[in-house]
Amino acid sequence: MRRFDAVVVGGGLTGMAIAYGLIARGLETAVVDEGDVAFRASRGTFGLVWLSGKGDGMPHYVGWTRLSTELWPAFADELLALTGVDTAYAKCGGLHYCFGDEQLAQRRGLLERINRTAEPPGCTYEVWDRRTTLERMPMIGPEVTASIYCADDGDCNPLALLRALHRGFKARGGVYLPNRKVRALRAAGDETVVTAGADEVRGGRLVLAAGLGNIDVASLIGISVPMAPSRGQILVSERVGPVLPMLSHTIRQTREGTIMFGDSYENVGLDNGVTDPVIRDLARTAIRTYPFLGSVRIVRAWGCLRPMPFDRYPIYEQLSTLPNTFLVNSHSGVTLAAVHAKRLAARIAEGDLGPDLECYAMGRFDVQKVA
Amino acid sequence: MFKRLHEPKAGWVTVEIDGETVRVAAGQTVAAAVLVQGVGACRTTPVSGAPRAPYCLMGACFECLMEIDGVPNRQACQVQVAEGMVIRRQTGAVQVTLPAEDDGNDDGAS
Repeated sequence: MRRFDAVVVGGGLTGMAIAYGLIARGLETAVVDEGDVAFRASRGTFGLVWLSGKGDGMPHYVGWTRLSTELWPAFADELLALTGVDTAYAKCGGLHYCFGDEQLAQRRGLLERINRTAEPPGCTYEVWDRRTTLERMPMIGPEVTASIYCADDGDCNPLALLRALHRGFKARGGVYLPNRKVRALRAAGDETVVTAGADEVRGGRLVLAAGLGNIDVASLIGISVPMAPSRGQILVSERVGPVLPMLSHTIRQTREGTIMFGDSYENVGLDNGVTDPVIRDLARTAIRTYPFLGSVRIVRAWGCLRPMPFDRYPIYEQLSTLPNTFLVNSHSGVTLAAVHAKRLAARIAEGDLGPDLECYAMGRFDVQKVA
Repeated sequence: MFKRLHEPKAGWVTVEIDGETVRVAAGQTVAAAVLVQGVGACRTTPVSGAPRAPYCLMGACFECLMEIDGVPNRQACQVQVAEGMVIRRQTGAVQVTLPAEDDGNDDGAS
């Protein structure tokens, strides 16, 4: 049986960011990964590194997300230097388009509410009237009445990010063990033993970061993770020359020229198919936003299941059922990749998440306790 | 590289490939016709400019993108040849022409 300072279950964006952070701190680390049959939410993300609108009802999350957006530029540079992989990270700011005064009032209300309880500076934003929006994005449709601009929003290539994390992890001596589904977990003194595939791996620290796979893994030790799969559907266009200089949270153009249309959340269990109503909605919103998209060809539509904790916020918890074991789930594996690698990994390495992350423990869903 | 094994049952049609008028077997896809003609690359990829040719021939890989009858980015393996069809290789990404700035978006901002 091989022994490591840390074993991470899950080789997606969350598991790999943590593993990358752990190995950077000198812990001999192994990642156990299920294989191609896993849910693999990392392949179904929109690629946003996004701050605005986050943290309503969870003040700490605003600062946590903001910290990640501040760490991201150096993180992207570091990954490029170490692995040669360009994550195409760009912090050009993001737009939230409004169709009508009511939408603008609603969005403004949300941002103000967030900023009232968040630690300053919270989320800094500008309201742009139609004229200002038109100056920056002359291709918007006649129904766009205003937009809200947040300079801290950005995007990246999430597949490149995953590749960079894997390469960086290996480059620093990390051990990647794929095609091994976790079948059992047990304590061994103050360490844990993971049975995965035909192997047993022993770790001084154990991190369960298998995304939706955490549901099965945690149930092995009698824990029910308070999250459900959330289906997102997207439309993908043909590759066209650069035409969208700014990013919005529902429509973005990748560096390769593809335009992606997204923004849907459905609770449909484990069904990752596409449906007419949602696809029509995505297309309708796209054309209302940028009418020229009516002549751009769509090459595919697909759906993906992503982890969604019940209140949309991450789950970070040190479990009491096994020694030195941490459970991590998050819907925002791309945005939080930097803070996961640089800060969360450090807390896990030290063996203590710290009092400020207590708000992310699963106990927050326990109605009896909270009452 | 490719050799026709038998005469096409459905006969022939005349198409234009990159300005050259050629006779191709009716009933086959544009991708197959292009391969048989020995055209080589059917496009260059917008990502790196590298030459690309039809690959999976079943609509999954998107490598066979060509301009067919004036419409770019069509999957050549999904289109059957037809008499008079105009087929062209495409270079890099399709350029989208945005409507002129004073076309429907006139809010007093010039």
